[in-house]
Amino acid sequence: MTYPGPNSDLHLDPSGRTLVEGVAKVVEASGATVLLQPEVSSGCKGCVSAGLCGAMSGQSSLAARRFSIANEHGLQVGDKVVVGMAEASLLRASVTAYAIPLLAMLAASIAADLKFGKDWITALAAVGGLGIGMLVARYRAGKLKERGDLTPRFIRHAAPDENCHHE
Amino acid sequence: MQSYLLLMIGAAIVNNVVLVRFLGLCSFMGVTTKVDTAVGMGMATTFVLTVSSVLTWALETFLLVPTGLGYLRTVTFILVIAAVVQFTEMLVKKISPSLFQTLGIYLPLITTNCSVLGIPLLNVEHHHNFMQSMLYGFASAVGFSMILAIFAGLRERIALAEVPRLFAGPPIAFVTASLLALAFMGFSGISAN
Repeated sequence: MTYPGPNSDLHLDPSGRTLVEGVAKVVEASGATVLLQPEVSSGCKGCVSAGLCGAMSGQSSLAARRFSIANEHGLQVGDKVVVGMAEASLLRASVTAYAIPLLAMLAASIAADLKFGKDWITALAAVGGLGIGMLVARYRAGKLKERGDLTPRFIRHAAPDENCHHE
Repeated sequence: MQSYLLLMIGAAIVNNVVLVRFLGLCSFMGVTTKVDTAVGMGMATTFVLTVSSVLTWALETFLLVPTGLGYLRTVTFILVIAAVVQFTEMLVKKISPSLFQTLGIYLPLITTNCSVLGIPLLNVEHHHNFMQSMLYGFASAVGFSMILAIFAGLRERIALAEVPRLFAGPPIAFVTASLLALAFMGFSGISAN
């Protein structure tokens, strides 16, 4: 089996979008789908707090991030694969989860501060804005999921010693 | 309104949390190997830092100052930050499990980011009110995210360049970071905040 290098043009999906890659291991194979568990990222391994960090503390946090993909390539339990997601989708997911609630909170606070100028009213408005922002985020996340933007796709088998950071 | 704008520019650029205050250097070096991870980490940090600034202001104003427990400030703030990170993780999971699988990796890292503790403590030191605390936290986090993205872009370019063997890897990254810090020193003196 050959393993294309990290600079392979497989970094692009069929529609030419740049993909963000990660390495994952097959932990369960059942019929048409396989369950994958992501590897710990390079950021975690390089950090001096790695030993204390929740991201590194055993299998539980990794198990919580397991995801399934269609098994179109005959994957088996124990296989190490490279999966990818469009860069733009990752950015949209970040905006949905963090930016929308935050901007709603800021907008509500600024409006309350300009109108009333009292700290406790501004604080209440911030909480209200955050709540509304979360509802909007939830709705938008549903839309993203419907479009399949949040589902990683299989790119290739990973080399045995390959991990998330190539450099 | 103008004072808020100046406060935000001061927090994001003039007194940048990474390059001027030298806080959050672990994430700065750890997650800046790729622009996409830097952006993900930056957004998560912005959310947590802003919410932490708001909550720590409330704790300081309504609990620590009235009861004379100011000496417990640092411990209390650490607990608040850890709780906010946990809350955010649960919230993202609740809003969308798919989003959690995609973005969840960055959240635990924020707990060990000292800028998330540093900014609420600076809010107390500067006697900021609610709005100022929130905007200061938000702008500092935006400045942090901006530097992460810029530095990740530089490192992606350096990865393609021919670097002398002794400088390859972290040494050239530190040299680049110091040049970036020198560039940001050009902004010092623009705002008193």
